[in-house]
Amino acid sequence: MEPASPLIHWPDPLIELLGFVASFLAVGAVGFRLRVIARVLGARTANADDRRLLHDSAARAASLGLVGRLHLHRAFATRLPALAERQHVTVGHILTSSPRNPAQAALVLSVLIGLGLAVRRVGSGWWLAAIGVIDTGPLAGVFFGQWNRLVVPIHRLAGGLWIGTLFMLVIAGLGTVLRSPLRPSAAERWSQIS
Amino acid sequence: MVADLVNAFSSLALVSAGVLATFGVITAWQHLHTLAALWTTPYGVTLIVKLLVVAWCSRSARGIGVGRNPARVRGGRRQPAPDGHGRIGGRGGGAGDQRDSREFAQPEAAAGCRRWRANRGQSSESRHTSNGAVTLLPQVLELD
Repeated sequence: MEPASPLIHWPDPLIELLGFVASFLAVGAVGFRLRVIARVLGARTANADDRRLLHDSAARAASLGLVGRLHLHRAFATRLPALAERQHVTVGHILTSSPRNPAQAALVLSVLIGLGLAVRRVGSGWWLAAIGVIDTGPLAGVFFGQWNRLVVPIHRLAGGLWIGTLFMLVIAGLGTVLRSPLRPSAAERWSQIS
Repeated sequence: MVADLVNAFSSLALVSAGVLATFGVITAWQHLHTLAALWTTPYGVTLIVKLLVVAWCSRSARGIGVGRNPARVRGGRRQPAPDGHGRIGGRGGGAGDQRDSREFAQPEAAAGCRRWRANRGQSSESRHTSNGAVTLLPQVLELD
């Protein structure tokens, strides 16, 4: 009798974790810009310095999100040959066999182009990225009526929005604001607290 | 501005956490079907471990939020709790930590809180009832 194979194969959990972190970066960047920064810009009479700082933060968040997305797609591309081998098909067949795949490829491109534009401070890039971030992957199943497969992706998206935006708030937001020469008093107070 | 950023994030965090929890419960129900499966299947055991980690993180975050009240931070020094340990929530053990931080917070910290609220000209009731670590941050920082 053969021993049961282990449930977890190392380093798969580590790779999965990196994938989660990478996906959180893009989702968090979009949440940070389109919710947090947008709300601050809209709610207060921010002066020119504040606006510049906020736009700097957004650009930094976009670059972090872009790095995350690139890692995610690089990891996917790396796994593609093994996936094709398991299914006894070619990589080309996997990419073209389902009508979902071209749609997903378009969404992936929209995220990359959108975040790339956002890094260069083009405002519309954020909306392009948002569409791609929300619909990339299993959420694209909405277009194909696969409603029962939405639970886990929505769970992950909400987690990404929460943790990813918090990450961006700390790294891109507070990091940029507190290190700015425009905000010496803020940095001093932060030093006391920290 | 930092306070504004954190405040803007708080509502997003609340909604996201709600959706996360709701769809997490649905996912768990789809996989487990029965309550007994929670401790009889590998998925259930893994889920329990995950929930324990989340609970521990939440408790730590609450402890940080409760421990950092304006009076203590603005006072610039840590005052001992009535039991002499000076502990705050989030580390150590059990309900005692939360009790310590509440005892610690009275009456000097409560007075500080009231003064702070009066200075800011706003009700802090909602801040104290939501996610402690996130919503208390602007109170601690007061960077504007």
